[in-house]
Amino acid sequence: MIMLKSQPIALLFMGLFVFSLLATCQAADDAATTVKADGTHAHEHAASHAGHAEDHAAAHGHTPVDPNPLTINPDLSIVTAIIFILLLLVLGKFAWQPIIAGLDAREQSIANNIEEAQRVNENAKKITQQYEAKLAAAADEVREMLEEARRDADSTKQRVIAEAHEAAKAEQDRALREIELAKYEALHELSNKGVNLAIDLAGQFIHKEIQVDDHQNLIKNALQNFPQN
Amino acid sequence: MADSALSSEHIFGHVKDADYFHFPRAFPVGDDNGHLYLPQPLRLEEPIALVKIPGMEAVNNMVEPVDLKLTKFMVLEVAIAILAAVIFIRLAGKIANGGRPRGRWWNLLETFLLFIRNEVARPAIGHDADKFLPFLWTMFFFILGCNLMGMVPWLGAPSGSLAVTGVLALATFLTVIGAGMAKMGPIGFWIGQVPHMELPLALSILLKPMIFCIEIMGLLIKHFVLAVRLLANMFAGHIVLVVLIAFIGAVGGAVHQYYHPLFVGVSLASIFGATALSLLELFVAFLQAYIFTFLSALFIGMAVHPH
Repeated sequence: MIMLKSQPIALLFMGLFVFSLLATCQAADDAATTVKADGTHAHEHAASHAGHAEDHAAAHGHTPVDPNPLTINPDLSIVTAIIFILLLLVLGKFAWQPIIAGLDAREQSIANNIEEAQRVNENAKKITQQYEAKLAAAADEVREMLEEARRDADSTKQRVIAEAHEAAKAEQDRALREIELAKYEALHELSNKGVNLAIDLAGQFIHKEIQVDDHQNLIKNALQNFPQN
Repeated sequence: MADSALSSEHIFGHVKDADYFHFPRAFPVGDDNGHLYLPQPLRLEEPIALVKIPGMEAVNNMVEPVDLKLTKFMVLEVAIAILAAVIFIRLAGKIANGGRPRGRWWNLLETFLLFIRNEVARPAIGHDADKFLPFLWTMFFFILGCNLMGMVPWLGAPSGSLAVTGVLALATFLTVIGAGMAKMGPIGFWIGQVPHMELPLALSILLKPMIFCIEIMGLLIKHFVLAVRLLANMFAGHIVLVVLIAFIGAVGGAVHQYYHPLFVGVSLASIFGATALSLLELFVAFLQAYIFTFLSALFIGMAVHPH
């Protein structure tokens, strides 16, 4: 990681180092000339060098270097002005204008995107709230339904039990009634038989013929005097 | 001593403009001295001296005669302009097509552009800033190109010449005056140079013209200093680099041996010193381009919004 981070700096440093080395080659080169110039042929070489320089001056107009840093070469100024103005015009037309427009458009689109995202976010929040409310309502509804079902089941159970009770009671009542009826009929038959027997016995005792009407009167009287149960 | 590695002739020859490129003698280009001379199709046989003030030799010598000579810095400036045009027209194509920045170069260049827009132009100039962006962007990248050319072996920094920095400062000066006059009116701008003061009429008549003169001089000096600041930084930095390297040549010339301990020691010290100073120069190249642009923006801002 450290290697990766320091790599560009190391490259830069190496580049500058190589540049310095190259510059050194040149300096050593200059030194070699100087060494030669200081050697046995010094005067000769210096003379030829001077002649050389003069030749150059003649051939290329190579004037000796003026060490004053404040000299102005009007040619260079004019060329610089022309280059700068041309560069300003060309870049202004073909680079800066499209770049400014592009940057503004991008800024606008980013602003729009943010605004849109905020709007969508708001909307999503609202919808989420709505759904949450709906969900809560649905849960309530389910609880209600369950409650109702339980209530229904309860009431059905109660009803079934009640009906069963009722049916059992009715059956019991009917059985009791039948028993009562049978008992009554049995008693009735018994009483009839008892009456007839009594009349037969009485007729025999009094030896007297009794008419049918007398029989009936006697039965009626006897029944009225017969205890109800 | 004229041929010593440390002679002013030698040292300044490596930093100042010339009509040749200087390569090592081992290279298969150039003459015996490693000088590759430029073709001179327009060169005048009789140079025309522009300034001839009798008795002012210093001034006369400062402005060189016009000879329409093609020089190294002119070639480098053209190269910088072409490079800048190619880079930024391609970038403009990408930005104009929309979309987010992709890739290192695109991001790097946009960082520069946005830094100058958001941190230099807009704070200094205010709401009119975007109108001056083309000027400031061109200025920044042209100066940066000129400065960085000085970091390339065997080339040179055109911004190490008063002819170049002077024209750039003049461009700022004209922009400042133009922007001020467009905003405040042709006369309003010049009247606005005198700050508003509550003065009795008599004093006002006496003082205001004097203040006006001082303010105009200040305006001129400000822009002259703009040119000199850039020049001095680039020139001095490269002179120091050349001197450091020239020590090797000077020692070599004195000891006559490549394996001499003094030669080896001085060479190593020079190489490490020059490497360290090159790092500093690299920083200065960006710093001075930024300062020039920043001050230009500030001057424009002051002209557009006085006080």
